Amino acid sequence: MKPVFFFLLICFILLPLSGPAVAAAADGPVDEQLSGLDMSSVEEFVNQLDAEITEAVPQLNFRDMVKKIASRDVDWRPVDLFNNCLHYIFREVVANLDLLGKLIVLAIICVVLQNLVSAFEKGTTGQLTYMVTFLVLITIAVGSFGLAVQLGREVVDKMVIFMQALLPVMLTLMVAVGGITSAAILHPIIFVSITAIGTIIKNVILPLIFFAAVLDIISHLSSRFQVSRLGGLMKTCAMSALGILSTLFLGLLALQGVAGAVGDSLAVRTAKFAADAFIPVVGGVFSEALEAVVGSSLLLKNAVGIGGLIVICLIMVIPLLKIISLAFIYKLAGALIQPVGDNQLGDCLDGLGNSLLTIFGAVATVGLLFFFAVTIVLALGNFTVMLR
Amino acid sequence: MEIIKNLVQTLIIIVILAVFLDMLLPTGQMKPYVKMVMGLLIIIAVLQAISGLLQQDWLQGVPRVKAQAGGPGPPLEEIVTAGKQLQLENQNKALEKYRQGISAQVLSLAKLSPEAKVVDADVKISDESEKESYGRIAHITLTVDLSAGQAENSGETGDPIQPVQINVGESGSSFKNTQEVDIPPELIGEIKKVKEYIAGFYNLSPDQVSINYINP
Repeated sequence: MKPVFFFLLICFILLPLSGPAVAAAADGPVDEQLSGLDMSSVEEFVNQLDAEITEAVPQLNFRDMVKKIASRDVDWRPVDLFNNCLHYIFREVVANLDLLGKLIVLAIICVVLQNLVSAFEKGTTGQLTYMVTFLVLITIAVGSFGLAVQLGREVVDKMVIFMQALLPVMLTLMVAVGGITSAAILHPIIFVSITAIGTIIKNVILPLIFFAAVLDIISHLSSRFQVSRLGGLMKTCAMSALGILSTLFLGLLALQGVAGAVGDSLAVRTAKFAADAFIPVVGGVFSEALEAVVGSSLLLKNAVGIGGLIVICLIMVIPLLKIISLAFIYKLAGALIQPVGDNQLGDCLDGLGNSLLTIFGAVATVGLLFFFAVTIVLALGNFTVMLR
Repeated sequence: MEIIKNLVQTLIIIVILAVFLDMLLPTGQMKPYVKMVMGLLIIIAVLQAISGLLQQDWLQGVPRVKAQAGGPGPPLEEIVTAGKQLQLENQNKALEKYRQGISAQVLSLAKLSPEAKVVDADVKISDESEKESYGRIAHITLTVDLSAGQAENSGETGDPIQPVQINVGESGSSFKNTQEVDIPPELIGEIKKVKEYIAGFYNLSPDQVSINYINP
């Protein structure tokens, strides 16, 4: 239910900004304003995106994309996007089939050795061989797991850099539609919190999840020496920190932003009242003309914001699909090994799959937080204009 | 994080050692002791890590965030200046639209009296945003086509108004003031009425409405 709710919420927030009447009326002014807007850092970032992303979305140009969004000329179809994602997941799964093969072969060797233990003169010889094979399997698994963690860290880094490039443009446009107080209040909070969230997730939460996964694997070495609860504690700490960070970030942004938006709307209303009241007879015409022009700035701000949201999704989607396909491979390997009879190994691989899903969750949460940050900045501009 | 990383490394070594010892030691009463010793080792490792965490200077990790607090993103002044620049451009555009709208409205009002033959209206708006008069109408100039009036008076079918080259400030200008042009007295009356009507409508003094004549 939650994703549906969030989707509806975002639609609700973004709905007023893309009315066809506004779009049709403001195409010319939007083009003019867009050409005068400095988006060089955002464009530079988008141009340097991975080859994989540019392959998925050819001719990715931020300025053109914003222009198309403002004129409602975006020809991306949700069905195509969904199909592309599915296609990519299958491609990743196929690419990781050799890992699956290695895991299953080693697991089968482990199982066979376990069954042959009784054939050796001393039971420990068989156990030792089993242990060595198990360690080889774990080394392979931890290696690819480490790569997934590294991928997650890179995504968080990229998103932070992109947000630091996008937000100045959005705050500039917010000032242009009259949201000076909102911009002044949001500026320090949003930049510091985004950097802090990026640093904490990258340097604390993702390593904690990694350590938890390693301790979980080690616990499967022997049923007599268990450290899985320490791993569980680390995982809980990481998840709690993530939850607290998300709540603080969203709460602060929403509260501060609304306070700023109300202040701004008051200032704008006062200015409008002054124009209406003190310019004889035609004061209303002036304020209406001003509102029409401000509307085009608002449309541009919303288009930049939506473009930013699309780029955040693009940055996130491919690494997340990679992580999820890797998790699927581990889970599949665990599921295939279970019937052969080695529960220990099956549980270990299943646990690794779960840890990968946790990393997926952490990275997706960062993406969602940044998504909401952009949406809140978007909505605040709309509130400022709406409260007029 | 370094302390936790070291703890995890130590734990891995202890557990692997314990597992191998467990395998290599002869079966018997030794095994529970091995488990207990290894368990104690794990507890010591964890306690050591905790004491390390407690003794750690917690602000050691903060400078990075602190240093970046003033750093990330461009300064607010830069953003506000760029935003205000855009706002000013918006205001100028709005002012121009407003001026054009008022000009069209003035012309429509003037044409309510067809005898006056007003063919154009130009409105000047006070555009100094610091002043209280910002946005108010500063001056209205009505353009009257005398030839159109004469053609109608003489009963001719009247050619459409020809475009006139306006050379403001040059001698021999097409524009002329009331004093310099011979205007039929009935037209003067009509124009005066229109002028007063427009000045009254927009709450202006009569001096703020002027008339220019073309094709005298």
